[in-house]
Amino acid sequence: MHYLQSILAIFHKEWREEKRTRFAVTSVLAFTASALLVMIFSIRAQYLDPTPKSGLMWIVLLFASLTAGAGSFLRERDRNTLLLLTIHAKPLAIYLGKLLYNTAFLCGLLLITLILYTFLLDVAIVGILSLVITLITASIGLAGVMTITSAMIAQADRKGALFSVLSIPLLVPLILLVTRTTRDAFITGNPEQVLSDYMALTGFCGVVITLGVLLFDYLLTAEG
Amino acid sequence: MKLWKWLTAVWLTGVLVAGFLIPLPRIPILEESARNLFLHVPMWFTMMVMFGIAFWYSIRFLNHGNLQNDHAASSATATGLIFGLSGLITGSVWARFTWGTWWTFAEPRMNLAAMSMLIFVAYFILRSAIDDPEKRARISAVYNIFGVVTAPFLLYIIPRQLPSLHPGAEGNPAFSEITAPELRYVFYPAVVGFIALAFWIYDVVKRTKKLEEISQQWNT
Repeated sequence: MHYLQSILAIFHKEWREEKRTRFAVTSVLAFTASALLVMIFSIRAQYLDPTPKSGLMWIVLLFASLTAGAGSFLRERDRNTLLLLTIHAKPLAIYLGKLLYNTAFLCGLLLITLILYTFLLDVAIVGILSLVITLITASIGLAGVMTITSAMIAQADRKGALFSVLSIPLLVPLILLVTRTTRDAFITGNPEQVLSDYMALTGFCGVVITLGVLLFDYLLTAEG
Repeated sequence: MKLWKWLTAVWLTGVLVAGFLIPLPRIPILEESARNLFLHVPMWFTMMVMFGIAFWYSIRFLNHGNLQNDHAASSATATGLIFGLSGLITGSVWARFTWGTWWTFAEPRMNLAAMSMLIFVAYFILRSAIDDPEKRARISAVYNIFGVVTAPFLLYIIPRQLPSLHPGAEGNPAFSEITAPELRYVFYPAVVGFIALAFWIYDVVKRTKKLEEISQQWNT
């Protein structure tokens, strides 16, 4: 019960922080919108097949979520509040609270981007169900990896492009899998065809979150 | 030099000589390039072994501390990376003679293997970004565990779901009754030989790191 309370408290704190400034939401949405517009216009994406269409969408989403995800622990670090957090909650609760918030945030971001994308490109969505499953698993997987890598770079002495360098290779399997399931949602809408992809996606999310739970302790100890 | 290193040197020389000289039955398309089997496949096996060792020492570091474990983990990752790159290069050469191109984006294994190499390149970038040895060891151990656990998605799971030319894909067995039996006589010794060579390289790299650490302590 105590754990659950602190997880919810962390979630609530993140939410209120975002509500106060609305920085992450607006910057990420502006990024996504401009990237989509440039991309669609410059390569005439409306004439493309569903495969590159879903691939392009996920590439934009990958970079958009990277711009949002880096801040998660970096902000705490910059304001020296990470230590404060560790006093109030166990590392596991911090991880799960941040993970929950990041998942919710990304889920909303992916949903809005998807709506924008289908509106701009006039894509027909055949399989609503497979798209919903894809969105949820993708946001869990993205958040799972990025919560951990964000905690890593918060401790690094040189940052630069480090966050993207660390996250992208780990996220490639996820992006490849969701590209395939999204394409399926655009063409056939029959989840059974890509059932093995969904299984692999579930496996990926499970692996990432299990590792996060097991290893997060080590990322916060001796912080100072 | 220890005895096992002499043995490795003699063994691997024997394997290479045999690999180039044994008569092979005529295999269509592959022809004499089938000898690449003795180089290409052991590279990947060796890479797996090295990444496995790095995984083991990363866990050991997180449990027991001790920077020696960290040296072992980073040396094993570096060695594994060398063998992975060699696997990519030998694979690329093989692709040139059988598929007609050095590199093809139609082949998932090739591209995803290169992608999984990038995980371990990122591991070294992460190491160079942190100054404090203790902290560097701890955080890079976590990243290493993450890398080793997600790499199988790139190397095993996704390639099996995509259409592929590479042996080992569906309807295209990597090693089966159609493989000439003569190949096996050299292939298995080659696997053993290259793994032993990797341990040798790993040993040298690890000892160099230890010496560097000692010389740094002397200087300060």
